[in-house]
Amino acid sequence: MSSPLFVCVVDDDPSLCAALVNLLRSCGYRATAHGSAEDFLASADLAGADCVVTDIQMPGLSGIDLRLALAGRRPGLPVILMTARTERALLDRATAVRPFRLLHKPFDAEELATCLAEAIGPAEGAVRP
Amino acid sequence: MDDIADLITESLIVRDMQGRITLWNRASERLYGWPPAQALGRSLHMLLATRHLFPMADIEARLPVAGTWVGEVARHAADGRELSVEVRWTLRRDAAGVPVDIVETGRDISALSLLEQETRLAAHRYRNLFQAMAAAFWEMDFSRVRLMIGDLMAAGITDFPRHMAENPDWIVEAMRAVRVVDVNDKAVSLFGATRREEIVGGHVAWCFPPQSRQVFAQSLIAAARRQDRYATETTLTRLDGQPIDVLFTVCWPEEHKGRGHVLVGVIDITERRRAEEETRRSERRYRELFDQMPVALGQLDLRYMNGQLAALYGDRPPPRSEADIDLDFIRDILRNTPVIEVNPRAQQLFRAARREEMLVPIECFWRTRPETVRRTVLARLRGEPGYSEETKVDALDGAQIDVLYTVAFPPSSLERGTNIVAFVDIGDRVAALAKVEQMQAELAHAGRVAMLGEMAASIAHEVNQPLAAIAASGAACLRWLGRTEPDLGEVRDLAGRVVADAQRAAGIIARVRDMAANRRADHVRVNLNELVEEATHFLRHEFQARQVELRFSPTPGPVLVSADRIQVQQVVVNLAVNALQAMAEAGTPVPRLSIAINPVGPDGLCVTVEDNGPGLDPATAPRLFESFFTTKREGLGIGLAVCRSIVEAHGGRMEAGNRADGGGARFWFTLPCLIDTPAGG
Repeated sequence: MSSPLFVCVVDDDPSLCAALVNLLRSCGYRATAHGSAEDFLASADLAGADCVVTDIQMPGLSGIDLRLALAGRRPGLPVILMTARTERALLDRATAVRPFRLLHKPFDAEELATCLAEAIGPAEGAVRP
Repeated sequence: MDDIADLITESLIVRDMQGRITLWNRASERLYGWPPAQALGRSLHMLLATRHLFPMADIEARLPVAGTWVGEVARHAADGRELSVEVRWTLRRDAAGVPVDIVETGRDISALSLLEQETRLAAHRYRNLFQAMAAAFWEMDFSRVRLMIGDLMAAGITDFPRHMAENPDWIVEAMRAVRVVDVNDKAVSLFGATRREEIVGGHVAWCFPPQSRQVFAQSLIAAARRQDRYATETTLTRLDGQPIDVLFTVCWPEEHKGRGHVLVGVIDITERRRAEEETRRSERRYRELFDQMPVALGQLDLRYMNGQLAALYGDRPPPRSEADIDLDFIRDILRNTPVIEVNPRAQQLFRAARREEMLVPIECFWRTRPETVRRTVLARLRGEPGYSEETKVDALDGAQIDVLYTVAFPPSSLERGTNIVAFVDIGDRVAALAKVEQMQAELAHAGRVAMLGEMAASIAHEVNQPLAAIAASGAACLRWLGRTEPDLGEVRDLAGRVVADAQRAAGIIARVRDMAANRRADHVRVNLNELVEEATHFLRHEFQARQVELRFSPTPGPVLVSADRIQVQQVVVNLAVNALQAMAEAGTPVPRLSIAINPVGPDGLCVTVEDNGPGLDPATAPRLFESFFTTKREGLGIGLAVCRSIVEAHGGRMEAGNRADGGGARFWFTLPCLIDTPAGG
């Protein structure tokens, strides 16, 4: 029996970060919250993460920077980018780093769940509503 | 013959046509000191060094025509004495009419000349009396001119006026033949000489310009007609070439006639001429000004008004205020004060088809605003130099026209019983002003909206953040509830998050709505530290996205201000956004924004916003606060103007400059601080 799939959430907004972690846990994933890309990269979670869900706009390293950093340190690790911004230039930069997906806030919980299932498969013991 | 000659007490000398002495009587020996033996056979003029203003040859050359010549000559005696001798020369001819010799009788007038000099001195003293009359006197010897006239007559010319008119050169020659015997001090100064000698002894051609030569000619004609005097106004020339307008008089004193001397009086009327010309010119200028000024002008007959004002206020202090002057008193004046002249612009302004339509009592122009005239009267009674106001006047067609009305009270004009009033049509300006005021209100609103636009992306992100959290929390709730064993603890926790995030979103929406609403300022007691910090929250994501470091330094001291929270936050946000944009545009490597609040003066607070961008361009800095001034390509240029007007409406002021260390721009504004009373009072 393998342990549940491990998703790391990176967002500088503590409220949203906590809500997402809770959502993912409710889906059956194991999830942790990180307030910044630097925190995540320095944490022990980096090695065991099965997927990263990160905001783009953050102090310090952005979600795009994180994606590029992970491409070197954890090749193959799927990264899902999130943003509330709509500027064309920003979105272009985001897709250019080839994330697994780019989600627009606010997004549907089902959308995130589907996206994760496609990326790493359904969570063990996950219960669908 | 010689014996007889020796009996004569006057000097008698005869010389042949070559000038050699053929007869020399005893009286001549006594006078000149030469014995006959040494005189006979010698040249007379060589022996005695005869001198005259004119060469001897010239004088003698005329003898065949005139027959005789009388004049004063200067001679040397044998012992070297200088003699002044009046001589009479008579030409003798033989039976065939050929000149044989010249008989001279001579009289020593050296003593006489002294007498004459004294006389002249007396006359000079006498003339000094006339110096105050500014009259220049010339005494001139015309004897040689008389000879010239004699020549003309001998040549059969009798019509002198015609001859002179046809021979201007003759006139010039005659002027050169005149000898100036004496001039007075006034003549010296009037004609620009420094010493009498510059004029005395010379001729007069230089002082008659070509156009005045006829005056000289007329003088001669007058003399020929035996008139006592001749006077006219003419122009003469000074030694320096400057023209002078003069009254020129010439007279022939009885005692001078024999010697061909005349007296010329010259009175300088240049000043009078100039004054006359100036008057004519100023009248012309005034008329041109009046007619061509692009300002409506009217001239009023003020005699009735002057009489009424003198009767009522002549011996009373002026009224203290406008209300002290009865409006009916003013209306009576308006009915009795006619317009006596208007310029074309006034006809235009008052819509008169013809000038005459306006020459009526001014009552009809002041139906709407007689108070303007009342204030004018008040100003005049108070002794003010003039009066001006923006008012309305009634045109002849009944229209009311916005004008700038101006009147001066020059004493000279009021004494004459007339005065000028001026009107400038400001109808267009008044309409424009109303439009500008409306535009300013619209601009302030547009400024807020424009700023919203700049912040729209930031706001969307801000609102989306709690919405995304709410959506996630809601979805998670459903999942926890959907489990076979619902985890109510997780659900309760999530519900609490949903409520908090919803409130957060509502707060953002409320702030945006407040800012977007073009509402009236709502002043409340607020903590400036909190207010500014809250404003920075608007831009939190902006700072993060652009990786701008924000340093916020609240003040530790009294911090309450009376302010419209939204407006002041708008100012802070605008200054911050400007700084962010400037730093981004310049590519500032480590952008940093400092917002600090500090006490200033005894009762003020100063909010300073500094960046480390390129700083302000000194060339454009002074214009930063002008409406529509912008250095941004797509900016409206109203942000800073609106900011300053907000700050000023709060009783503060706003300035811009560069940081003292030169490392970026620095904007600051002040607000008056409230006395920090304990809360709950």
